[in-house]
Amino acid sequence: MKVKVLSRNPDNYLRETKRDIHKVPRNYDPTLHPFEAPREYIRALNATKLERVFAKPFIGSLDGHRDGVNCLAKHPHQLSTLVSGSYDGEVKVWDLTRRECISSIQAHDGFVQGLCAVPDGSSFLTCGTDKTVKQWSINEEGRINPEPVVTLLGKTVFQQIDHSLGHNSFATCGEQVDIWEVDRAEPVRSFTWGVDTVHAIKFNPIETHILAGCAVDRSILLYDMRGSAPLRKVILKLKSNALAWNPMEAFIFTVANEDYNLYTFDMRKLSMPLNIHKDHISAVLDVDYSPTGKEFVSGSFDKTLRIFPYDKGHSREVYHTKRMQRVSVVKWSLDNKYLLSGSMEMNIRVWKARASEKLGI
Amino acid sequence: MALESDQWESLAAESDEEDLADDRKHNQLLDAISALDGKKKNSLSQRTVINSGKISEFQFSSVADAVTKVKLHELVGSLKETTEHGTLKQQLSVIQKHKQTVSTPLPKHEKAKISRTTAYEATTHDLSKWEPTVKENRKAEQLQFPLHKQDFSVVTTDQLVQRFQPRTPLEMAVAALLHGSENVVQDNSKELTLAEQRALAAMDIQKAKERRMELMKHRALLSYKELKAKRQKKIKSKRFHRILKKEKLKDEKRLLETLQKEDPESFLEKITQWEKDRVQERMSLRHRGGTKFAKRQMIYAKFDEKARQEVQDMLQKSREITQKLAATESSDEESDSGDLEPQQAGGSAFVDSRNPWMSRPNVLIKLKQGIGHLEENNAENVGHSLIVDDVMDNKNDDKGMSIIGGNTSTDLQHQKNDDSDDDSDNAIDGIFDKLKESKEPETEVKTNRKQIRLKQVRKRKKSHKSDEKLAAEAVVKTSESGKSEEGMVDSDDSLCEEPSKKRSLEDMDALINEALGQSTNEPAPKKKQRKRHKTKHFQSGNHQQSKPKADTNIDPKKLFTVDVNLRQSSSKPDVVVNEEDDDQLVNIAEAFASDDVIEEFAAEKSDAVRSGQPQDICLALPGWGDWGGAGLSISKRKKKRFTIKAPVVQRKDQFLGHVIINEKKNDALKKHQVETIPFPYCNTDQFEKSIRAPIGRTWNPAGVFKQLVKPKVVTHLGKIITPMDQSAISKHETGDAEGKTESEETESKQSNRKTGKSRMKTNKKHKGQGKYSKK
Repeated sequence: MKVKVLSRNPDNYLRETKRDIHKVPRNYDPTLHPFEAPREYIRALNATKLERVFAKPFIGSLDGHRDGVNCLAKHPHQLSTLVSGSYDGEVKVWDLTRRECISSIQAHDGFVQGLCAVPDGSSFLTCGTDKTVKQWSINEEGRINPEPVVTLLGKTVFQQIDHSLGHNSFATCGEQVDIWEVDRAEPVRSFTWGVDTVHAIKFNPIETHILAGCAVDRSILLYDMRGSAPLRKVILKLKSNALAWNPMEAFIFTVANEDYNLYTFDMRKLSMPLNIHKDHISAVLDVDYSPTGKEFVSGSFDKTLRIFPYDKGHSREVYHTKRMQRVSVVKWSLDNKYLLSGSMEMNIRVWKARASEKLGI
Repeated sequence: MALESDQWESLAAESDEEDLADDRKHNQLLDAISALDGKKKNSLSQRTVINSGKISEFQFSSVADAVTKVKLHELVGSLKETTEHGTLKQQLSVIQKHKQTVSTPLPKHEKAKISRTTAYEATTHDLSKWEPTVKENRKAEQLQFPLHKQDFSVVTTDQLVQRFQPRTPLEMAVAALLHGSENVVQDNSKELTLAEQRALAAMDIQKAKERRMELMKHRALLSYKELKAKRQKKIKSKRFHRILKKEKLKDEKRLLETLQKEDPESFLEKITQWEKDRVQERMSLRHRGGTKFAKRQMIYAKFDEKARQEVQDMLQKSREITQKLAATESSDEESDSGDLEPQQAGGSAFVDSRNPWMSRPNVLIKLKQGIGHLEENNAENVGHSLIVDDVMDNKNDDKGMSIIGGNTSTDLQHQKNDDSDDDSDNAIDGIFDKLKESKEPETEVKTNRKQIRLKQVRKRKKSHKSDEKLAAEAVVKTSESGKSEEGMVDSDDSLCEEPSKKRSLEDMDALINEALGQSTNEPAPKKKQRKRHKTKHFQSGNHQQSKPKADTNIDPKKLFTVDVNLRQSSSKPDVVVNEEDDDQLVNIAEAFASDDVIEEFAAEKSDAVRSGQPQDICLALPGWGDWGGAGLSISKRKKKRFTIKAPVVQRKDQFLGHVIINEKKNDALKKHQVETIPFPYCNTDQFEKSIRAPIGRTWNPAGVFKQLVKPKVVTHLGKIITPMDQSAISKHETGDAEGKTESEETESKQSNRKTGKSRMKTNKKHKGQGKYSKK
C-alpha cells in the first residue's frame, strides 16, 4: 500500500528571523481573483481618502515683521536659513528649525523690493525703493553684519534683483535691466526695449547667462547677459507678475499672470505656451519651482498657495489658512520637502510640500 | 531774423546785381503792404547760398547743380598721362563699369531687430543641447535627487598603493622594511637609491658617470626582463608554452651535463632536489607518463640507472590502478577485458550488455591491430559504430562478426566520402594494403565484410528504388513529356553525383573484389554485373546518405505538382501593384461588390438626420369641439391648426456628403472616457497594458508590487538639490565632431564658471574681512 504524505519545504513558509515578515503563500492565478478591478478601485479610493485625512500641511509661521512680507530668499547652502524683506525696509534672517528670527536690519528706506542670496552663501543682496542695491554679509549662524559690504547707487528705483548662479554678476530691473558686478559701481550692461518698466527678473539656473523678465507692458522679455541686445519679447493678454525657471530643464520657465493663470513656456518655442495652469481665482503673484523641476508652487491674491505638476493643467494641492492674506511671495525649499510663503499680513508660513507626508515634526 | 539773413547775404555776396536788389526791394514793399492790415505775417526765414560756379572749400555746393558736380574723370584724368598706378587704373575701370550706389544703411530699429533675431536663434540652438537630457529625465522610471554623478573610473593598483597607510604594527614593520632601507628606490620618479647616490657623490666625476651609466643600464635591462616576462605570461597559446617548456627541459639537461663535469657540489644538490621531487610525485598518486616529473626523470635517467626503472614502476603502478577501475566497470560483462587499453575500456563502457560482440574481445583486438596505426579517434569511431550497430539491427546477432567487419567498412566508407580528410584516406589505403597481406582469419573478416557490404548495398538499392518509384509516380501524374522512370532517375543521378567520387568508390570496390575474388562464396562475376548494373543507383543512394540536404532539396513531388489555379490567382496582385490607381479602384469596387457601402452610408446619414430633426407636435384632441361617438376622426383643418411646427435645424454636415457629425454631446460617454494616459504615449497598446493587470499586493508578488508602485521622484530629507549641472550633458554627447565641439564649449563654460565662482569667493572674503576688521 502506498501512502502519500504531504511534504513541504520549510523555506516556503517559515520566516528566517523573528523580524522578518510572515510569508503568505498566494495563488496569483487571475481566474481565482474575480472583481480585482472593483477591489482595487475601492482600495485606491480609501488610500486617497486617508491621504486627505492625514493631510496636515501647515507647519508653523514666522512672526516678527512689522509690515507685509515682500520678498524671500533661500540660503544656498543652509536649509534652515531664510532671509525675508518687508515693505517697511526691514530684512530679517530666520532659523527655520527653531522658527525664530536670528537677526534683523533696517536695510532700506521704503520697500525692500528685491532680495537674493549670493551663490557662495557668504552674503545676500537687497534692492529697495531708495534706489540703492546693498550687499550684506552673513555669517554661518545667520547673523548679518549691520553695515552693508557694498552699496550701489542707481538712477532709478530697482524693482527686483537676482544673482547669476555661475557668474560673478547680478541683474536688477526697473526702468531698464542692468547687469552688475559687485566690484563695480556702474552696471556692466544695460538692456532697454521700449519704455516700460520691468518688474521681475530671474536668471536661468542652468544656462546662467540667460535671464528673463516680466514687464508692465504685459510682456515677457528674454535676455542674454553676453549680448548687447535683448533676445525676444512675448506679449500676453495681461501682465505677468513673476517668473520662475525650471532648475532641471534649461529651456522651460513659468510665469504667474494677472489673468489667474500660470503659463509654462519653452524658451525655444514662444509662440504658444506649453501648458496653461488654471485653478487660482485671482491674480497669481509669485511662482517658484521645486528643485526637482517636477512641480511648482504659486501664491495668489486669492489668499492661497497652489502646487501644480509642471505638465498638468490643474493643481494637485491648495493650501490656505483662515488668517493668511494675499500671498506675495512663495519659495520651495532646496530639499524638496517644504514650502515657504510670505503674505501681506506680516507672516512667513512654513508648509509641507506633501501634505500627508510624515516628517517627524 | 529775415533782416539778419539779408544782412549776412549782402555781406557774403560780393557782386551786387541790380535786378536782385530790385527784387528785394519789391519784396520789402509787398511785406510792408501786407503788414498794414494789422496781421503780422509770419515770414519764413530763408537762406540762400549764392553759387559762384567755383568749387571752393569755403562754400556749399548744391548737389542738384549738374555743372558743379565733380566727375571722376576730372579727378583721375591725370592718371591717363602717367604709366604708373596700373592696379589703381584697373580698379577704377571696374568701378566705372559697375556703377552701383551703396545701399543705405538700415534704420537703427531694424538693425536691432536683426541682431535680436540672430542672437535668439543662436541661444535656442545652444539650449537644444539639453533636449536629450531633459527627455531622458522625463521618461525615467525613477529619479533620485540629488542626481548622482557616478564615478566610473577604474581604480588602478598604483592608486590603491598610494592610498595605503600602514596602521597595524605588522604593517608598520613591513613598511619599515620596504621603505627603510637606503638601497630601495623610494620614489618612482627618481632613478637611483639613496645609497647609490651617496656612493656616486663620493667618487670622482668621471668614474661616477661611468658607474651611473652602468647602473642605469642594469635597471633598464631588469625592467625589460620584467616586461618580457609579463608579456609572455599573458600569451595564451598552448603551443608556445609547450615549446617553452621543452626548451626549459633542454636547458636543464645541458646544465646538468655541464654541472656534472664542472661543479659536482651543485650537481649533488640538484640530484637531491630531484630525489625530493620523486617523493612528492609518489605521494601525489598521479603516476602518469606525461607529468613534469616524468619528463625530468628522463633527463636524470642518464645519470642514474634507477631513474628509468622508477619511471617504469610508476607507469606500472598507474596501469594497475586504472586497470582496476576498468575491471570494476566491466565486471558485469563477465569478460576478461582486463588487458584492454583505457581507451578501449572507455569505448566498451558504452556498449549494451545485450550486445554479444562485446564478449569476443579477440576479434576486436585483432581488428584493432589491423588498424593499429590509425589514430585513436578511429578507435573511438569503432566504438561508436558498435553502438549504432547495436541499435540498428539486432536480428543479425548470429552474424555478429561480419557485422563488425561491415561496420568498420562503412565507417571507412564514410571517411572515404569525406573529401577534406586526406590523411584518413591515406590511412585507409594503408589498411587495405595490410588487408591484402593479412592471413586467414583476417580474410575471413574481409569476406564477411564483403558480404555484409553487399547486403547493405542491396538494402539501400531497395529503399532507393521504392523512393524512386514514388517519385516516378508523381512525375507520371503531372508531367506531360512522359519521360521514362529510368531517364528521370538518371537525370536525378547526374544532378547529384560527382564523377571523381564515383570513380574512387568504384576503384575501392574493385580493389576489394580483386582481393577477395576467390574466397567469396557467391559467384563473383554475377555480383559484379549486378553491381555494375546498379552502381549508379548505389552511388546515388550512398550520396543521399552522405548528403541528406541535397536530397531534400530535390523533391520531384514538390517540383512538379503545382496547382495551376493557385498560380493564376496569386499572380494577379503582383500585376495590380504595377498598374494605375483606376485599376486599383476597380479592384476594390469588385472586391466589395456585394456590400454597397455608399448606399449604406447614405441610409445611415438620413437616419441620423431624421433622428436629429425635432418632430412636429400635434395638440389636437379627438372629440374636442365635435360630436362624440364611434368612428371619431380629427379633421385636417383642426390638425393643421393645432400642430406646432418644429423649427428646421441646420446640420453641420448638411453639405458634406461623406461625413456624419454628431452634434449631440453624449454625457453618458464621458464617464467612460480616459482621463490620464501613460506619459511618453505612443500607442493604444501601451495604455491597455497599463490597465490590463491589477497592481495591488494581493495580485502580485511583493517584488513586482514594489516595482509597480515605486515613486517617480525620490528626494532625501535635508539634502540640497542643486540645479542641473553642465556635466549632465556630457554623457549624452556622442563622439561625432559636432558633439565634441559642444562638449568643448561646455567645458570652457564650466571652467569659466568655476573661475568666476572662485573669483567671487575671493572678492567676498576680502570685502567681508575688510568690513569686519573695521568693526
